[in-house]
Amino acid sequence: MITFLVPAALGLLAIAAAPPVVHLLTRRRAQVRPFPALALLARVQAGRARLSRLRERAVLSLRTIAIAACALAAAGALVHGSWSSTAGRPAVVVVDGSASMRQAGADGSSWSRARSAAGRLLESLRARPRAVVIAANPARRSSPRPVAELGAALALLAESEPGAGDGGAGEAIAAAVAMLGDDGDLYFVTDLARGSLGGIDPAALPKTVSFHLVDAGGGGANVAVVGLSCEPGVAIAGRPLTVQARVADYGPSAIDTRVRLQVGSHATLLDVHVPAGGSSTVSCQLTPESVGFLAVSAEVPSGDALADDDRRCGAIEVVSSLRALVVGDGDRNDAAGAIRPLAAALGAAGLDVRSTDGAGLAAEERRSDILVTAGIADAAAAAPAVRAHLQAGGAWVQVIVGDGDAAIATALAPIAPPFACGPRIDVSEQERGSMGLGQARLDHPLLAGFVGRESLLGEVVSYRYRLTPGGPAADAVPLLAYADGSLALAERPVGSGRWLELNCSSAAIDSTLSRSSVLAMLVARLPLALLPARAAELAREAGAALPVAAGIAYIGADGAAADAPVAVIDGQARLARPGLYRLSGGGLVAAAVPAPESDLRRLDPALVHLSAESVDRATSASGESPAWPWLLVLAALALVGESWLAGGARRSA
Amino acid sequence: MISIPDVPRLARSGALELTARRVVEGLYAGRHRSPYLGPATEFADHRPYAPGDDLRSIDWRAYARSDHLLVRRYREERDLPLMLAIDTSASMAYGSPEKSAWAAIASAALGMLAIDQGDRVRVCAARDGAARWTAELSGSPGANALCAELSELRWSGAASAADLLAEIARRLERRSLVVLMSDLLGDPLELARQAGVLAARGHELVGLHILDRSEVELPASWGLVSLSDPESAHAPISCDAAQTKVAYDRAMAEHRERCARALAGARAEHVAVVTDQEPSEILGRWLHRRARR
Repeated sequence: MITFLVPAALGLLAIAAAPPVVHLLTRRRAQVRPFPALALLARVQAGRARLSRLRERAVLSLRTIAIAACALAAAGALVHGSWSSTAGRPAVVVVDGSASMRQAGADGSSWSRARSAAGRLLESLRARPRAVVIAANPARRSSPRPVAELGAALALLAESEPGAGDGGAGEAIAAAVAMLGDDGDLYFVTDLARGSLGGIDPAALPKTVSFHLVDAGGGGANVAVVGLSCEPGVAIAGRPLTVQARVADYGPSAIDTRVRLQVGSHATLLDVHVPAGGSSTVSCQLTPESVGFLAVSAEVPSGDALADDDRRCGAIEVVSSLRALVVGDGDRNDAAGAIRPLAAALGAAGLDVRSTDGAGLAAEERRSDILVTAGIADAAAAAPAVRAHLQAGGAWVQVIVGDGDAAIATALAPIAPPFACGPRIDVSEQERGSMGLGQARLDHPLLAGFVGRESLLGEVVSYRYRLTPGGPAADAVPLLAYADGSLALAERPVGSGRWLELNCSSAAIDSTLSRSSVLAMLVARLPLALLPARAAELAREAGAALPVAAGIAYIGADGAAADAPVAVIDGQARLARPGLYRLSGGGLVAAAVPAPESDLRRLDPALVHLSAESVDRATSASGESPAWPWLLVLAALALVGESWLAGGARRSA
Repeated sequence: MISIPDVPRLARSGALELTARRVVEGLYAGRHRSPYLGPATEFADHRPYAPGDDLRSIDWRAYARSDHLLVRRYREERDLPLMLAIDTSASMAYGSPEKSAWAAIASAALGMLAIDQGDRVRVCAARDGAARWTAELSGSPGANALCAELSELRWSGAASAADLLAEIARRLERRSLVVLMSDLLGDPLELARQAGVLAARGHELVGLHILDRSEVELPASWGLVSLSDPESAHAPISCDAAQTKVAYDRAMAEHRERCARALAGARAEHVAVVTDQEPSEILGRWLHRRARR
């Protein structure tokens, strides 16, 4: 079977009719003459006429073949089937199982089209080992390796449904590459929504693996609630809280719609104007009176192609106060001396303070809003918990009093610290390197309280544990500096979290920081300076894995449904469906469709240096190899033959 | 040089006679002898001397007696009348000049030459299976009648030299010199067979193989041409004359050679004639060759 890359070029085949047409139009008319010796001529002509006719037809045929071969080559002819050079080459079909594939249209859902396309692809890969991978959260595959047998792949296709998450296409592609080994074809069947290629890096694929992007169709306008957050990120009973819902319009025209925002039992209808291709935010304020969990939801009128993202759920945990976790390894004199004043100051500021050592950091980190570390002995062990804390939007106050503290920055790479620590100061020569503060940035919320009281800062004399020769990072804000210019305090945002780095001990033996009121004033302003800037997202991405200590159950979008237990495997529960989940300990967790999945507008693959194939094209070309080199050879041979035959005719003339 | 008139002009017997006479005069001027040169075995009678007669045949004694130049005639000569066998098929009406014109002039010339020398001449013209015979012609009236007869010939229909020879062999009782005027486009084997029959009956045969130049050498300048046979129902043949010429010319040469061999096999002469050649030259050369035999 032959298919064509550029079917329009088949129009050139009309030129192939030129030789016979020109021959007919320019054919000489024979002059009629009487000739008595006709019988003799007939004997002479008997063989010659037949030969001449044959030669003439052969010349015409060869010219036609040459032109037709060139036209077919220009059309990008591809042969497939048993002739193809791809026979026996393994292939894996990855089907996009992200939330956008649930989009419904007049001709069925994107998923049904993709599933049908994948089925056709698998059928067309008849002579080749093949497998199918469903790119959902998590990915599922029909077999560990591509196999000739088709049943398992078709069965997996038939029983699979798209998830509500991002599909994890990147991981699924990586899995498919691993299944292919060194060589093969990888087909990714997707709706080409904006988020469909997230995590895919074609340049990172092995050169021997051919990546085919198969367009299953879909796309269109969509209105969705793409964000639900509260500010500050930590809800404290008795303190005002703002709940925000962000509505996006992924369509060609602006819309005016009404958002139903519900916090606990309180519901509000809010009008909103959303510009085309943009988003708008609606919000409401409340002051939670008691601690516990609040269910939050925002909903826009449904009716578009993707219903899952018209309502977004979230969960707010209202706490009595901010929770601070002070971590230090107590067997170190410096650490113990630094931690005590810190913990005391945090407690005096009204925070719920707990203390642990480095070994307990991982277990306690999730239950804290502010993490304070000083004198960490094992930087490598502490780094993962610190990273998770920052990525979850928490604040980290890093007090550098030892080698372990300085080493955490290295262990957190590529997350860069607010400033890099230089060499350790030799205490014998520097007499512990005590130096007074020289500069302060008083316009920062953390130091705003010292306006008019700058002398307090000027009285602080402290030992510097590290020089800071590199200065602050590009996006870091230096807050305090010693008289010699080395940095004492700086902060920088890390994702939605904050990293505050203090190159100054709070131990009384090392500095006057804790003896004056400076430390207490700094700590008291920590919640205001760090946490209000954080607007916490109230839902996790659907499809994500959640570490759970005990059981977890799905309770629906509004929390009213009966508990549906969710399987916990290796301490991880998969939040497959959007909505609310109840933890066995009484907590609430929400999952929502990832915001990029709501943007159903089609992505131009050329932007990422890819080209998409239609399903028909991919199906017909799945077992193909290019025929144009052979067609050009055929054209050349035809022209050589034509020259030889035409030359022979001229020689005989 | 004698130009050969076209057939419509030759149809007037006067024109034919005039043209033939000029040919005969040319033959006389070349001192060609009569074609009848059989062995002189028995004296028959005298006849008046005519230019071209061998001086050795003049009876000088009779001259002394009568004061007229008389030539001796022998029984042998007198018993070998001239039979002009003419193929009048349509194919003879082809050429430039037409083969028919050449044949008519040559026939008239030979006939008049024979009559002038006191011999009898008959004409047999055949086409479409029918033969037209004349009575034996002699003397001045005979010459006129011969020209009239030749002028009235119609060159059409189909005929073959072999059929003509067969007709002559069947009907001609007296031993004769048969001069065949034909393009001999038929089967040489059949020609050989009928020539053999004729020879077996004591006739002497001379075949004038008359062809047009275009039949001997196919003109390449014709280019792409559709050729039709004026005589047979053979379907027209289209060919490129330039491409076919070499093979055709070779085939025609072989055909002429086969015809010559066919006649030679019957102890007959083959005289190749192309119509652009002078009749007097061709006939003179033949007579000269015959005289030397």
